[in-house]
Amino acid sequence: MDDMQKLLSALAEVKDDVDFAAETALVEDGLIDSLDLTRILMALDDAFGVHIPSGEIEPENFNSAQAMLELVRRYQQ
Amino acid sequence: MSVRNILEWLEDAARLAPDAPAFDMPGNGVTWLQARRQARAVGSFIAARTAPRAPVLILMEKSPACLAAMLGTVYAGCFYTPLDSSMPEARMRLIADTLRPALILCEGRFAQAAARIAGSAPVCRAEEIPPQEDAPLLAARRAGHIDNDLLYVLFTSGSTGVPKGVSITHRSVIDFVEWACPALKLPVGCRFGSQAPFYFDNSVLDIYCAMRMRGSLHLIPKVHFMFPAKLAAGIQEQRIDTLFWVPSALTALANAEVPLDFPDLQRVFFCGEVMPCRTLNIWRRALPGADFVNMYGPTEITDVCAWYRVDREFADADSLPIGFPCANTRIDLIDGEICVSGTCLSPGYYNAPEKTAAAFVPNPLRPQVPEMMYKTGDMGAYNERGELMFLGRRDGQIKRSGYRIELGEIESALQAAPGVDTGCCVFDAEKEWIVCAWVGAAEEKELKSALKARLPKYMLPDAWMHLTEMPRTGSGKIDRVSVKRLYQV
Repeated sequence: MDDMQKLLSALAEVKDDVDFAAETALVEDGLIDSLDLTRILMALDDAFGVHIPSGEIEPENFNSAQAMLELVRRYQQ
Repeated sequence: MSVRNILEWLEDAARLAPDAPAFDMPGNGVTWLQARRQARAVGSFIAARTAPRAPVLILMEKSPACLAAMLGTVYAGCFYTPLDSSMPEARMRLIADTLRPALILCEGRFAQAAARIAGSAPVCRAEEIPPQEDAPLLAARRAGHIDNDLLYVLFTSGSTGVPKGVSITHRSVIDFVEWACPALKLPVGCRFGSQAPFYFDNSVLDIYCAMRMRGSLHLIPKVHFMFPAKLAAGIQEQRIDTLFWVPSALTALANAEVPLDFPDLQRVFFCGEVMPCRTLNIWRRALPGADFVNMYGPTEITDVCAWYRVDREFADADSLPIGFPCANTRIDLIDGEICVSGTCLSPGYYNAPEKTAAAFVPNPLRPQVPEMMYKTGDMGAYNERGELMFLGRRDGQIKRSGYRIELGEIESALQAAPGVDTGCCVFDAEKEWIVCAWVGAAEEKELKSALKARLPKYMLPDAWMHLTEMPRTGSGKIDRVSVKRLYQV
């Protein structure tokens, strides 16, 4: 399973009624709220072993699965 | 002469500070003069279409335009109900059926939803209201105003599944704000960083204290509360000096890994749920010179009925007092229940005489005249210093992120879902999780979408237990203690 698939399955666990593979404005369109965001951060930690400090996150990092994957990769290095 | 209508504050601000920022958000702000002009235009439009003292439902995002709609309603001699635009339509319809609005004001993108819940009420798009004012019509509406006219009706969770509309008069808000501004030491020109949505009564202090002090109200975009670095940068850049937030929002920012570096911030107030002393201590360490005030009060008593200015050290595990009654407010403890009387009292729930009679009762301690008292359903006690302490709820009401939730309302939706024979909800206070348990053919997924269609997001359960049999007490009632135990194992 590649990283994108791994991410999408982790996101589907958090929220099953959003098409994370297709959406590109998750935050601006209000598809994820603060509770979802907390759960997504926990899921990223579980799936990839990265801890992302809440003070360093920006809306742009969560608008799409691709942006989240890029964020994860920055913290993996 | 004393104030009889909240619009007198708006008119004073427009006269004394016409060019000062009034309602502000990124790329979309108005001065006090503009705020007054917009409100008078909206008011002229509404007054031409409604009788005085009629309900106006507002379906708009938090914005200066939404405030113009609210204050315009008041210029028309009517009262407003702002609705949460993200709530399910089924719940909007329940509210519209209770309120029977004379007019619905909405933003274009909510026009279709508004039309579906409107019944016979006309739906008007706020952006299409012409900027003209009809001064004689507004003057006529003003001449007919008395201070006991309603200012707003805000809907809160009701245990039977039907939200309750708490009605509040101008007089109660005037009395509250005239107390709050000096008590909270608000200076002229203060700058509020507004967190509370307008359908939540904490916004009453934000809006009307900012107006009374000719200050400004910075409407912080909701999405910033998800991104602490953005939130903190906004407070710094806008030079916010006053916050009145729910403790959940203060806790989230305190726990985020951003420095609380706010040199302009001098006042931090909170209300709506219990403030953890751990959060308070983080903020006090960051802002040693600031004033911290804990406040308490249900919507039915106009936002706040008791307050405590933090004046000593508290350990992280201590409980913070709710302190002392505000001016013109009396608090009696009857069998431990916090019961409130005074100018702050709502005249009752809108179009709901039975619910009103159950919660607003003649004060049994002073039976000689019918002095009304509101039974809050909250339990309280005095500490050794004579300060009032909040001890929790008597019934199935819970608080999550400042939202008042009746577990009974979730249960009504649960029982109504197809494939549910019986169901109940319990609350895990530690995790702040609502746990839903049910017996019947319904699968978790179906049930989730059934509840989503009826309940606002903040009421949706976090944990789901499909049971083969519901635990019962000896008398045949659902045994909630056992349900909770099942969930914990």
